[in-house]
Amino acid sequence: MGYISHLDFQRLWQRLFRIAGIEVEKTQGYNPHPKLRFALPLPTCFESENELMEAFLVEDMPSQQLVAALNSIAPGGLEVLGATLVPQSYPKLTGLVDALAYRVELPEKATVGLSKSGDVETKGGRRSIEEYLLNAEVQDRIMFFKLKVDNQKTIRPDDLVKHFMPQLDMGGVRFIRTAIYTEKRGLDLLPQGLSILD
Amino acid sequence: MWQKLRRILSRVEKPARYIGNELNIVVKPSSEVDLRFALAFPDLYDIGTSYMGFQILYDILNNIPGVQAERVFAPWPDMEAEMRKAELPLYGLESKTPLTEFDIIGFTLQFELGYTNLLNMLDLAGISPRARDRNVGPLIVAGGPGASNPEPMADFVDVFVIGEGEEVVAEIVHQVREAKRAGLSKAELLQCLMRVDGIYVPCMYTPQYDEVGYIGTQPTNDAPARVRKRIIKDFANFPLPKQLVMPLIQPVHDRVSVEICRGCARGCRFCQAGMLYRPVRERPQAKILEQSAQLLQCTGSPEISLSSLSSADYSDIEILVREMMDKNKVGVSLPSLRVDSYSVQMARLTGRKRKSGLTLAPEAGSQRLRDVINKNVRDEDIFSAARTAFENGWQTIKLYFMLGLPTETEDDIRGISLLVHGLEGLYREIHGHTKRLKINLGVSTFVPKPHTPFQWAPQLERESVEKRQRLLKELLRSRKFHVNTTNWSESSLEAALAKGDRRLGAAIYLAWKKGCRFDAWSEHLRSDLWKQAFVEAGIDPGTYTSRHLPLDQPLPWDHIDVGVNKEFLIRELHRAYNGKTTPDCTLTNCSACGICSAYALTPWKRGNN
Repeated sequence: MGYISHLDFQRLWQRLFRIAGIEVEKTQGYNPHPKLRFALPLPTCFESENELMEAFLVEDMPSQQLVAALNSIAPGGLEVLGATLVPQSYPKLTGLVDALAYRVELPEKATVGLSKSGDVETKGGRRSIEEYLLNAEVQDRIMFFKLKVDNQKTIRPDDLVKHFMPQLDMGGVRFIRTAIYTEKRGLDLLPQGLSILD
Repeated sequence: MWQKLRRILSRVEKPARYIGNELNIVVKPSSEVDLRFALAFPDLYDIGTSYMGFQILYDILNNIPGVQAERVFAPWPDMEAEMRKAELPLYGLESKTPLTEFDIIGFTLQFELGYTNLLNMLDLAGISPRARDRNVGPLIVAGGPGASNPEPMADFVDVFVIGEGEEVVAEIVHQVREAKRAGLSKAELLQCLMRVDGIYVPCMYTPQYDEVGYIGTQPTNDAPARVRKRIIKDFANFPLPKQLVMPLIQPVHDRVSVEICRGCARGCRFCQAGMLYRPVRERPQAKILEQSAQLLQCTGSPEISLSSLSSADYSDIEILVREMMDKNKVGVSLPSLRVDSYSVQMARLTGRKRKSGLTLAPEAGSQRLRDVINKNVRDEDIFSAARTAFENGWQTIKLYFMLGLPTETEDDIRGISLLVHGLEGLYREIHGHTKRLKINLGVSTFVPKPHTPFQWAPQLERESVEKRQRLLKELLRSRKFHVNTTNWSESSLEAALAKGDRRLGAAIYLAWKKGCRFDAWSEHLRSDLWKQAFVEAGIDPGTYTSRHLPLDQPLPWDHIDVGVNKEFLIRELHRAYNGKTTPDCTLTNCSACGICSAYALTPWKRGNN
């Protein structure tokens, strides 16, 4: 599942909702498409144990029914863990995320120490490790990162790993997003699964 | 296996091509599988997933208890390099089982320029591309339009399927199962398969040549002198597949394709499909509506394509389109429409976004030449279609033409330009200006194909083709017009492979060995390597394509019978040279092509639904 692009992933969800017969509101404008949004896109070739999505349904639906309907047709590797009905006034999902957690599986034991000094070059510019790397741990060949998200700005774990271990062949590394955090906002939202807006 | 694969996938373009796991795939537990059948498409995943033929066969095969059908496509060169480096053999997408562990691998020969990909896929699987080097391992089968002249690929394929595969594929499964049970050798299995209707086993035939060229094919033992194609006689009642595999990556169009009719009797003289898929058989409207509702449900596609060789000819097509839009609430698209105002009305009915433009295929620039090729389209039709289109807001028109048709002269090329400028004038007459008008031309180079009236015709030689391409581009030099032509290296190779005999196998093998792959992709076609291959094999491809063949000369595909007799083809060729047209027999009189008597059918007329 991690091998499809975010765009194709979005289209897959549109298709799944259509097959399940769940009507999703459409956006206005010249090219209307179903209102299905992800908290933060997952780069191609990354895997995830937890993703957040919001779906604007045309009609109310009990969460369990929604979860069951989608899971019954979802292809292998994709599972809806849960859903929460929230009111229209609920803030936009993308604005809620303030941190992401990753597990990184290296081909062999990590030999570098992780230091909080320095910057990482990302597509969006230079980001300071001290500011964005909230937590890091290394256990043998597994690394755990908790990375801050500020207004959708963050450091990608692959950029981080490349920074620490420039010689490493990235082909053998597995990146798994393990959690999406919305703590700071103090909102009662499941840190995992699907949220539905009516 | 997965470990190796995972490492590689992050290094290649669009890894989703190689992982399977799509919506609606069938994966049976191995304990329930006694026969594995690979449906192998000799081109990239992105292209092959929309091939309906495999969707149909996949559905049929997976409904046979104990049979697992899996799909496999040609890996893109970046993936191929990684696979070879990691020693990862080619596998079926469903279970990731290496192809060597399959019982049958079935390729479809959709276009000649895909032939080297077939050899490459076998090699990537660890299977010897040459049939004579294979005594064990999976049975290699090939079908599709290319099988109508199987000789160029005869060195590499064990068994060809001629014609429609829906029924014969189950018969092949049966024979292979029986052979496994009885412990038969490959030679014995081939003997059994040879007796199945519609199956051509090339090793049972010996082609013969003299100093000039091919003179005939000698069947050995009790092999039939001619192999006749299979057809699904009761196509009307043959069900659509119950499910379609939906790829995870976006195909070119997100739509479900439903075959509303098979076959076409318009008789355009260049068209191989028109001859191969006779007789014309329509599916009843009620069945189409009912079965497509289910397909739309299980795929979640927003659009349905009512496909056939000439969809606007389908009886009461308007009613079908309206019903489809009302009952199933989907967008409807109609590929391959007629060139007249009717098609514009149909386009309005289906609500085509005007941005996408209207497509018409006049094929030739003058009425004279259109009569020669039997494309029954008049100038008035083109202009009335264009008028209706322009008056209804269309700004873009796409026109398809062929260059190098038999009897063509530069006047016919000028005819194309006159037509296009005429359309420009028409637009100006309606709108007062031509600011937004865009006319796009797709001009492909004529390739004579086996089993058509033009099979004896030569392909126009390079100099003339390129001269006419230049002339056309010169005459249509304007920002409003865009002319797309095909490369000579592509067209000439296609012609040689289409009309070749078994000796071509040596050249195909050498070309592949030298690194030719994805020949249909202009960025990968290596005509220099092909040239070397032909030279080393001692073959001059021009001998197959540059002369007009004598009508009484044996042709390398004469032993393949597609139901249309040679007398008819010769008659049509004469009529072509005399500029006489032949009407569609489903609308008027029979043209005695032979198909109905070959299959003991009553001639069918349109409107008899």
